[in-house]
Amino acid sequence: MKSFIIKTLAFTIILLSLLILKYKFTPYYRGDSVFAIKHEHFFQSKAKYNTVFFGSSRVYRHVDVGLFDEVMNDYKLNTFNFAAPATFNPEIYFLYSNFLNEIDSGQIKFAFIEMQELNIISNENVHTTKASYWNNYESLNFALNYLSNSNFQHVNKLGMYKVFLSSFVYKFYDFDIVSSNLKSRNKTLYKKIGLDGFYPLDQELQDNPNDRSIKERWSKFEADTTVIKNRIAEVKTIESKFSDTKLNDYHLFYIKNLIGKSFQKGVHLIFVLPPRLTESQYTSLIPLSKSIPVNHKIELYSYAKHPELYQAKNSFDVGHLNSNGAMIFTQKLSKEFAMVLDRISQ
Amino acid sequence: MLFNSIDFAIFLPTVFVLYWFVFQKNLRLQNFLIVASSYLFYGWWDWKFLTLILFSTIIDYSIGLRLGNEENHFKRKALLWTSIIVNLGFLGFFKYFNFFIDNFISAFSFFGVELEVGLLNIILPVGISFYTFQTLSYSIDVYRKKMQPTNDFFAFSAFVCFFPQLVAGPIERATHLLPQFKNKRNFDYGKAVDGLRQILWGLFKKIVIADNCAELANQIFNNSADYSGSTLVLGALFFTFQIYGDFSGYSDIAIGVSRLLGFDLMRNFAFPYFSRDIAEFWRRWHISLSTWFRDYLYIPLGGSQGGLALKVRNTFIIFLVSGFWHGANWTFIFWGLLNAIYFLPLLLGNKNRRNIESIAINGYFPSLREFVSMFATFWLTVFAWIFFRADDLSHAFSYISQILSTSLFEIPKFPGMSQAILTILMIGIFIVIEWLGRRGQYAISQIGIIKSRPLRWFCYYLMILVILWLGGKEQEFIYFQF
Repeated sequence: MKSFIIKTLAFTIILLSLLILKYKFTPYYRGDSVFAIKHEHFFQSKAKYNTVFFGSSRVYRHVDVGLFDEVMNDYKLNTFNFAAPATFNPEIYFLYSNFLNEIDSGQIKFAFIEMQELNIISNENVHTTKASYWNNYESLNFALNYLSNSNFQHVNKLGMYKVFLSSFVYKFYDFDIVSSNLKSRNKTLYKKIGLDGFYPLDQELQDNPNDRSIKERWSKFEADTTVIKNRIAEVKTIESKFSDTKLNDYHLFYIKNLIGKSFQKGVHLIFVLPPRLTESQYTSLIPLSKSIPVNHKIELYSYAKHPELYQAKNSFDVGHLNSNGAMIFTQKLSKEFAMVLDRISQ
Repeated sequence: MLFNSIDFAIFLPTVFVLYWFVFQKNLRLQNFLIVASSYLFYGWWDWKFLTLILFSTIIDYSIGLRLGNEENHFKRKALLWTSIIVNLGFLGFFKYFNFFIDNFISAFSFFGVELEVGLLNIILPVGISFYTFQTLSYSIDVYRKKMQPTNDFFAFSAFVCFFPQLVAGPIERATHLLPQFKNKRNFDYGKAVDGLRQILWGLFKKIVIADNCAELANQIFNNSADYSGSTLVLGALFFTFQIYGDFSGYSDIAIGVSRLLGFDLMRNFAFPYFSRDIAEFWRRWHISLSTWFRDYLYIPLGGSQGGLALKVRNTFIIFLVSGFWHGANWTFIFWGLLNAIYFLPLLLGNKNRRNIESIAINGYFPSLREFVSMFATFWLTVFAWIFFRADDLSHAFSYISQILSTSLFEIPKFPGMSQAILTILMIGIFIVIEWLGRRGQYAISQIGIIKSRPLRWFCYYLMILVILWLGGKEQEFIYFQF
């Protein structure tokens, strides 16, 4: 029996080593093909850029980096939009942290990260490369600590712990990462990299009129644009009662840590709280935002202050702006950023 | 829980450690652990299923004890029929109720009478077809006085619910498995290692062969009207290997897991696609089920004794019931009927016991005659599998008629062609491995005799990497909108 146990353990350890070895031959961003393409483009011309954006489709489709640089002309910014669809926390933190390790000190002046709560991996996605490739020890640690400091009920937390642990384990035996790293999304994306990573949804629909998934999203919204009123009602509700909501201390601690790490690389990190989220998202994000130092955040969620960002005419679907909306969003972002820079310079 | 899941990967080592390190000294506790872990394993799907298996266990345990104390012939028969009615009643209700109601309504509708009978939303308990037959074998063998009933409830419960073979067989006989629960198990290194090897092979068959074939077979069968005859032939071939990989893979894992715990289960598949005739195929395919039907249905009906009419009747009964056991659909019954038609000429000509030993027993390659027989038998089974897989009889017939059209001579073409080519390559390699290992209990059993440990381990690692890399469909990320 002893011999059996020892040999089985030895076999397993060697196997795990072989499985971990595959990560030595695949870059950290292996699981997201959109980010992989952007990464390749950025580092081919890295001397060109000094400002970056990280986030989900709400940044990918909303931050017009060309316009941003134009408005912020005095500051001589050259911005790249690293955001990718379905890129949530802790994936964003994983990508940004690795990006920080790659760049030279002083190479990037400003970095923007979309403020997000922890995204709970759905059961359908747990065994996918996209939902696991970023799940290293740091990401798992973030997720578990976030959950233990959260307001979720204990019963629900157990299920959430399980999905993150399952995703962490899946990473070891996921071989789809090898093939996913070889894939590209579609050829039009290469063309749009010329816009430095920004690609509004209506533009993508125009370029790909046969793309059913995008077309369906637009058609659904076009058929009933009143759905945006629900988002307006949600943000109004939370604006009036956010002081009652609990801050996730661990998330704040993590963010402050990330700000510190960025500073060591000469990067001024700013978190952006976008519009059009749900009430439950704002419940955790607004208290967080209020606790982040003022020069490290930009809030663009308020309906009272930014009603244009909730108008149907500026929207592609319930969660995203169209090109016109993106232009407005970028202008507002630039204005807020300029105020941050003024404060810093004082 | 599924064998190829993380849950099972945590479950099995935990049970193994508890079994051999904590409860090893006490046989009763060890059996209790088997029962508890088996109930956990089974309840993982749906805890409500546990009441059914527990009830079935209690009924047959009690009936067994009563049979042991009862000498009156009529009372013994009554007890046996009680067991049969309860077990088959459960099976009949959960598996066949809606089928019978559907056909009842259709029959009346044929005569112009429309009935309004509601169908029930019945969830089929996992493995019910297997464990009911297993407990029935106990009742029948006790009735026949082939074995003494047991008064050890935990041993009997463990026999009924033993998790490795609970949901997909092999269907064990009480005379073979139950005594193993009553005797002390000692850890056997060779057995355990062989068990692990068989688990690995089972996972390879299930994940690499079956899952990849399933994806392609589903694509072709579900859209059969859109494809050429040649593509449909490919679809039938993919299903042929899907069902073999899936079923025999699960059996290998079940047998391997059992060996880890010191148990021996019966062999369930013996390289059936190398059979030279249908009779040999049925001696090599799902052996536990076919022998069960032989011993508990065919022989009591008279078997192949008696006149021609009796032989024909018994043969058809066995294959039709066997088909029906697989599922509540006319396609399964037709599949059984087809196999009966294949088998009958051999039986009537007394040629059903011709090919007993392994094919090409004295050489590496089959003779021309053996090859032709094997080839013909293989394609007969592929043809029959079309009915097994089709949604209904009309789908099966339209599938076949499309094969038998001029489009049979077109080059196969469908969206998954590149994956199909890779899968065909994997099937080719798989057939070679199975052929080379056909004299063993399972294809890679001979790896155990390689003296060099690094070489053995290299083979295992290679298989594991192939399983991880090529196993099944790349899971698509589902993007949720905000």
